[in-house]
Amino acid sequence: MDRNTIYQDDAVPSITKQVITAFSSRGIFMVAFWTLILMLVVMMLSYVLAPYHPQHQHIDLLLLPPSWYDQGTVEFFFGTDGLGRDILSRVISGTRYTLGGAILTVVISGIIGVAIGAVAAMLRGLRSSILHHLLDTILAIPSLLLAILVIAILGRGWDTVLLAVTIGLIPQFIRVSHQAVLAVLETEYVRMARLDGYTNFQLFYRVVLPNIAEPLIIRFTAALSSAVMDLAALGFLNLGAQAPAPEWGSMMASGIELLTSAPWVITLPGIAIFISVLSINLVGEGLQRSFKKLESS
Amino acid sequence: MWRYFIRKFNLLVITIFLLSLLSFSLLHLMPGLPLDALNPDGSLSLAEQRRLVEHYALEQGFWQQYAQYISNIFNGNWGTSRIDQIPIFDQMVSSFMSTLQLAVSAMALAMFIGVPLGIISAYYHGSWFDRTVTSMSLIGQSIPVFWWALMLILLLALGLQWFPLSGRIGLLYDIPEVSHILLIDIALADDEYQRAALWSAVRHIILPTLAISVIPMTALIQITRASLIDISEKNYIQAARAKGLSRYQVLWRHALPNYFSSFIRHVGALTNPLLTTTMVVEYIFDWPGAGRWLIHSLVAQDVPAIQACMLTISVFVICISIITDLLAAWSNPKERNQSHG
Repeated sequence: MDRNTIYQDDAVPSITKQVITAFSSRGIFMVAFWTLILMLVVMMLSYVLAPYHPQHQHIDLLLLPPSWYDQGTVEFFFGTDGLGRDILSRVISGTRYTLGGAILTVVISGIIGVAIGAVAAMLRGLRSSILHHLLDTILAIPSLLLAILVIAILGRGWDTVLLAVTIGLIPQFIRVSHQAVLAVLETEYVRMARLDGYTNFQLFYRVVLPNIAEPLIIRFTAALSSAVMDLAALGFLNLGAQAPAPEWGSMMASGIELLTSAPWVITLPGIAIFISVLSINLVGEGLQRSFKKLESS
Repeated sequence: MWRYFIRKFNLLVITIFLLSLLSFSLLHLMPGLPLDALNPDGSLSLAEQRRLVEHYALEQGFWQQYAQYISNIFNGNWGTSRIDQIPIFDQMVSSFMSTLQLAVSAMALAMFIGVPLGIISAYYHGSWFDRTVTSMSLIGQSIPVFWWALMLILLLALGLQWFPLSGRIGLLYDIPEVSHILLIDIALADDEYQRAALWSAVRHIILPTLAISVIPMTALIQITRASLIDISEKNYIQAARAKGLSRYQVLWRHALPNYFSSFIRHVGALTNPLLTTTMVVEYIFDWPGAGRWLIHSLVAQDVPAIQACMLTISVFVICISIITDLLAAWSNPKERNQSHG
């Protein structure tokens, strides 16, 4: 290769590129990443991909076992539940509830939480200590209990649960962004930028935000997996998505009485939750390691 | 230390005030008038309604009502449950104690297994054992706890029939509740079937304990491993190695004491996920604890019970977090200088 360029040094790739290279060097993280992408695609195309309508009841085919059992058929790949509904279609449509709901809640709570945390960190003093006391109070309430409180006030239902999980996730975002912004504000390049005459908003947008990306991204993935878990747990406790909706947690709740006779009704949605949470966690772990590699290099 | 203590105590008081305010305003946040929230199906007679109005001081102003609520709490007069007409205070004590037994036994199991696994995998960092433990803990972290509990029931209770399905003791045993801790109650009970009752209680607690302990166990493995690896890169460890100590000696004399100085803080931080998990598992195993009671009273719209559960659980969490902070600061002066606790 011709190396006779005027510049002696190799080009240093951008930070994003370095993170991507570090991330993609480990096979297991890429598997998790593509599983997640696949799930997102399934979520978006769930209307097309589901072989049957998730609510349609095949009355003559109750509790049909999955196709790998002797009695199962390929037409109903995951079998049917106690009302004759195709479980594969329900698991596919469930991505919209459990996964889609989780993404929605995490994005909304992330925007709100980061905004509050950043503003509180930029305006120090009394307000910051008030914020800390409020945060400690809210963080003392377990997130599931906080969600249950919101449900107690507003009544059960899918909308309420989305709101409840969003509210439960906000405090963590506030805490993470608050600490990260405070740490960045101590650095010298922020003082330089201030001397250059940046306003507070410019300072936040151009200097602080790119430098707190790492903890925020890691917090986002952690929040995503806990949102999936919380939504499914609330659905399982019959507080979330109501009966006919194919939410994974409430699908499992409706299969409890069939635990002995038809374990697949519970097992399959559970595996769906497990795989999605596992791949989210793996992607988070991979990102964390890639960022660490970046720091040590 | 005293300054730190006072700051933490101040935080505790303010937080408990805010929590009690939140729990009190639950009655006002419910749709409709407070009296409607206490009487959702309109089945109470006028005399009973008047007693409720008097008990909560409902015809007075907001802050008088709050004062009344606080004085009711301190007098142990938490009202009666609308559903089963039991005084809420008694029910709260007995159900919270049984939640605690479950949570403590799960935490103990998690510590006994999680901490040694974390130490070994940090010691043999990068070996196949380390890699197995790390991937197992990632898997354990991703298992939905209710699914895991149901699989345990399916395998060990229904399939192999080793353990009973639900509850905390066989229905045949009638143990009087004295201390609300089942094992002590059994020991106190003057019963010829004492030993059988004890065996039954132990068999009942094993499955829920296994189900809950996955969450704190994986967390402890990860925390232990990560902090030991972090410590092993410190200068004093390098110095100890250079002095000629073996890796094993370094681990026992330098790395582990340094890790355990922050151990109590890690355990304190796990209270929150531990209680959340316990609430869900109680519901599945029909364990008569605070979580199951909370979910049942939520479905039945029993507001005083919801208030009591919320206040007790969250005050407990904040107390544990403050106590562990104080213990950590007492044992390790470095922790006292944090600006925000």
